[in-house]
Amino acid sequence: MNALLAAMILAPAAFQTQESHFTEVPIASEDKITVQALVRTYEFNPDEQTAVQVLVGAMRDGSSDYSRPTMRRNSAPGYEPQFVLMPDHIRVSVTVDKGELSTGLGMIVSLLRDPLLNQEAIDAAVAEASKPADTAFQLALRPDIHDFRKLKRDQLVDLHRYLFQPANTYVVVMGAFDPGKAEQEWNERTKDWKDRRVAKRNYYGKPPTMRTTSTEQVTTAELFGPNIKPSDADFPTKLLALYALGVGKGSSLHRVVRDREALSYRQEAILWPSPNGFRARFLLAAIPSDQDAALPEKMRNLLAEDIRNWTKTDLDRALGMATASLIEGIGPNPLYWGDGGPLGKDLPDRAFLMAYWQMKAGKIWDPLVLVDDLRKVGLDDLKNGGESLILTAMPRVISGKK
Amino acid sequence: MIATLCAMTALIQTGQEFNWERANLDNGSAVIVQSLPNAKQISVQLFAAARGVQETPETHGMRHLLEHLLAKGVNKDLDRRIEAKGLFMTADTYRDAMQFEVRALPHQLRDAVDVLGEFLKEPKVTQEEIDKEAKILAQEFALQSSSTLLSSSAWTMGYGPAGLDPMGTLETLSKATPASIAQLYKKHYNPANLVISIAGPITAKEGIDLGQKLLAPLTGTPAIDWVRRPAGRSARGDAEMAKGSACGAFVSGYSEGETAWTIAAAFGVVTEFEDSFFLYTPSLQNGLVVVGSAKARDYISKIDSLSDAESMGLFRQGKINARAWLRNRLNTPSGAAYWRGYLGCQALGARPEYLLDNLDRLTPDQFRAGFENLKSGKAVEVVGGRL
Repeated sequence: MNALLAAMILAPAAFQTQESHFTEVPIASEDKITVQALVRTYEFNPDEQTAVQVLVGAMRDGSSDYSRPTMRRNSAPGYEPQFVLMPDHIRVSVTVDKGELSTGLGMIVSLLRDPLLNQEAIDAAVAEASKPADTAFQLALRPDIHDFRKLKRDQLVDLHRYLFQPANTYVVVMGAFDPGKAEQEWNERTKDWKDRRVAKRNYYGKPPTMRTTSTEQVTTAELFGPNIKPSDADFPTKLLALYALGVGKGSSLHRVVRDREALSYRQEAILWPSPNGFRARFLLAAIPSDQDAALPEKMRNLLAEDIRNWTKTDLDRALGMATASLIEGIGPNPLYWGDGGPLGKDLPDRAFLMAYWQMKAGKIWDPLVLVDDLRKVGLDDLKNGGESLILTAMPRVISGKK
Repeated sequence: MIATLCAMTALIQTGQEFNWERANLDNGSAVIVQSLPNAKQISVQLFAAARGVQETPETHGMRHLLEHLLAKGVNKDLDRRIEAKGLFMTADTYRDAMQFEVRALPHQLRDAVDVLGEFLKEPKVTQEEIDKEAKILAQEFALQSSSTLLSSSAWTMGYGPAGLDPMGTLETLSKATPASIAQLYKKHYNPANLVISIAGPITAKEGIDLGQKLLAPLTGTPAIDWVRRPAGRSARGDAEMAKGSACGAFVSGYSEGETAWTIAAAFGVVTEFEDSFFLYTPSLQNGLVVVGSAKARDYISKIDSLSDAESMGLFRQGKINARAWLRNRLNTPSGAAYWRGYLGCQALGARPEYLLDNLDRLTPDQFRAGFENLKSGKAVEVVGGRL
């Protein structure tokens, strides 16, 4: 009860039960209902990474109760069911029209507990996962090359059983329904869903390798930054430094790498999940050339030089951008947390963020508190934070086709 | 103040379902404001119609280069200054107009409109700046998505030089000089081509007053006529650098019934086939509705293979989705300001409600006719050259 009261004080419209990581957020003015289910994962062994990718892909074919076409038909127009694997979680997202709460919850519960995972679904997932990403930028975000040949269906079924347990699962239902209804139905549908001991297999397939070339007409270069945790005392400093370095057109990346040096058209700093925190990633996309291998170091040197010349203008700009994007949804969002792209302000992403921050940091997502912490960062700390992000970052290049 | 009062014209257009107003100024420019009381942000947009400066093989991409140069601001530090206040500016060049958008909070309306003032001053650029920006544009060419490349190819295959995209080529951009950029700016930013379009939780008076203050002092020449794009011809071909395939259905102006029918049919198709894209830019001119997929090389075959019963089975969802697509846009600050400004700079009476009305009244027979426009023999078919 105390936990429930605490949750109500922090987020008056949300009702949370402690046992099942379930939160409902009724919003009368919405015309849709979204159900976001996150399954927390862990730092997979290299050979497990391949298996979990196929598992998530295969879930797209639905469950014993809901086939893929049925799920599409049941979904609100423009809101296809999503199944996304990120380094720290699996996201299952379903959005339905107002009045279809039961359908939305039914689909999610069925997918969490009883995905089809037949051979046809697995083969389709392997075929899809074997294709390179649509764009060079997407390739850069997920540069692993997997070998799926040794995967067996029973391994995926076991992995599903191991991962998809109530204690690992965070669910938020947000949108147009009466208070209490979502929780009531969730409890009814999951009353027999209990955590259980499942042995984890040790071998799932070959470890992935890192891509270094592609057939795209674009080269990507990256500085893959150190791991940072939301519980770190200097997390706000590093987040603000990320904004100063690469978020917005007044950032170091845009001013220096693009405008001054004409090295790229697209360049960004993003915060990418890791199994136990986040990585600051600084990426640029450029026309392939003989100088590709040197791009990350060139980027590092240019950014380091710019950091040394930062003034209060850069601090103010970073804070302005962070405030606008975190609180108001104005400007680019570097938080690539939910589906491999920037978090949006639509209903599914709002619900996702609520579930995600509970899972990641054990608390309610409150951008006002976060921005207050960002306001306390001074210029010297900002510079130190920026240097800590880029000076030890690992260089990566995926060379495109010249 | 006196200049503003002299330039003030009685409000001549207002909205019914959507609460909007338009004020036309003596110099040919206009301000359009749509009130969205429940919105949390404002979108403030400047449109410069391409009347008099439409793309030709000789000028291909020059407008795009101008956009890049203007976006830096008068002192080349615009983004750094406005981002410190939490404003964010983007720019785009389309076939019919150039657009600048500033997104901000409602209390920042004055600041946001002031940003547009940067683009109403002739840019002072050096050859070095032009050459550097051309290098950046070359990078941008390489990053175009498959859907953009497929669409561009469909346009030039279907309309020839009259369908040129605004991106440009390195060859034409290498010919740009400070003098040619200045000349282009004068024509493009003739007041008769300019519309400021604002949407958000503000009153029409607030937005119109601020917009008029900015536009009223400008002087120029009367508006000239658009060069009409002739009717297109169906064709088949490749887009060498793209993946996937697409088809472009010919449509006339945005307010014509058949345009709405084709849009609804296109939405039916993208609902049916996974991983589809839909592209349409509202225009008074002949244009294309493009649908396709970066993951399928047989998109038009898939459309052709639908039986009449199957395609008519898409009528309900296609109509619902098309109406939702436009209505949702008109209910967001960015979408509303874009649609009203983009159409409003092309012609005095142009407004998105015409398209919405046609979508609302769509009948099954009309949907069927729209569907036919997507099929081979009538549409432009493009297949990507990359696997």
